[in-house]
Amino acid sequence: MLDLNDVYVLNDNFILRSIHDKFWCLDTNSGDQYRLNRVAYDILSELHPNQPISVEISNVSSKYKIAKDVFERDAIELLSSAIKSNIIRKEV
Amino acid sequence: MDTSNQFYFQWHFLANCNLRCKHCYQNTYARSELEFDKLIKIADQIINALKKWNMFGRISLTGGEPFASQSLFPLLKYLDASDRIFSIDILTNGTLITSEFINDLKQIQKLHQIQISLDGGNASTHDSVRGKGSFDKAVDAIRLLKRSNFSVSLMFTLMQLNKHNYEDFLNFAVTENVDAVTIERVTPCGHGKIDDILTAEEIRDIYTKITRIANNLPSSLKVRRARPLWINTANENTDPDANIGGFCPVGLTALAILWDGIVLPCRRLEIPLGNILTDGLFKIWYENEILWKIRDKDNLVGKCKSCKNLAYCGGCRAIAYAVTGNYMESDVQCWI
Repeated sequence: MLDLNDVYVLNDNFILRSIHDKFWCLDTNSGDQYRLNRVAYDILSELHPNQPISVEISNVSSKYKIAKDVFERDAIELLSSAIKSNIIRKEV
Repeated sequence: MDTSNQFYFQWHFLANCNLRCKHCYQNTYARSELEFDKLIKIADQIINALKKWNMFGRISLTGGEPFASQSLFPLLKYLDASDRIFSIDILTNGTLITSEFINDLKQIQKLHQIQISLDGGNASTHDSVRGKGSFDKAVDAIRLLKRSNFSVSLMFTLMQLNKHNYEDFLNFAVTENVDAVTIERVTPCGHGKIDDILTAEEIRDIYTKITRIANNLPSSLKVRRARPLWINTANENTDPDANIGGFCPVGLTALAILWDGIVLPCRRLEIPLGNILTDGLFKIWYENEILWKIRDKDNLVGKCKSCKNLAYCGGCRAIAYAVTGNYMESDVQCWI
């Protein structure tokens, strides 16, 4: 289970890019491409080495009219999936 | 094989050339070439990217002068063996093609076309751009290749020096029964100068005249017009099979690679994006901000941005950059 007090960042080989309503997370080593929706893009964009993911989730959720607990559940699911895919890593 | 999902690579795998053309976009003509294992590393990156993107590649091998390289045929064979590459062209000045190459060329299954640069329909015009004797040698190559049943196209680089000669060029292409011609505007980069380019009105008149000629060609010669600005002549076209106008694939489905691995958005758009050998193709294609800027049509400025023909044109980013210094500016040779 993801600890919301932990800090996560994008791995160095991943970048986020967007054009209009299209969003991607791109692996510059393997060439893998992940198409994202806007919310997922916003969550990954918010990852910062100086703040826990609870703050990031809170920051992004304030942009959307979604119940906080629902948003948090979905965000945790996204971040867990990103950990499994080695897109993000825990900062220690 | 469904090849609708295509990516185009123009690979200038050597700089060495036996000619010194007045409009050449090269500044240097180094005789040394990358070792063959490095060429293979580049080829493997191309093939790997095509696999990853589930795309099929169309590759033009050129230089410099490709027939000056010992690596040409080994490289052709290597690319030919990839199931991700469906079409290979060779872009050449034609002057080094002799009968001894024919058997080797016949071995390349995916060799689609050999494009020979011809900057005039007669020796005096062509040689004034490319050097004395180059026309006769190019013509010999065209005839040799046609006799040997290769598909041959001609590239005419339109500039002040030869603007009077495009009709002779088209007549020559018909007479020699070549398969296709491309008439492309000179880009003032490398040895090309700003004074070499035609005015918008000159381009309008010549493109319109070419369209009228193409409507009534007596042969199956294809006049390629799926390029920027040609859409402006669509109302003159009466050939239902002609493919008029086209949004340039730069930044979307095309890249140019130079002899030392430097990657450009397009050979004529001289903004180095990185080196494929040291940076890797994925890093360049995914990270480079210039490519992302070009990909978004909203970043266009000037009249291209609001043009009614934007979807079929977009102007030439290389001409815009070479003339104005801003690759998102208007195409200065557009007449509408």
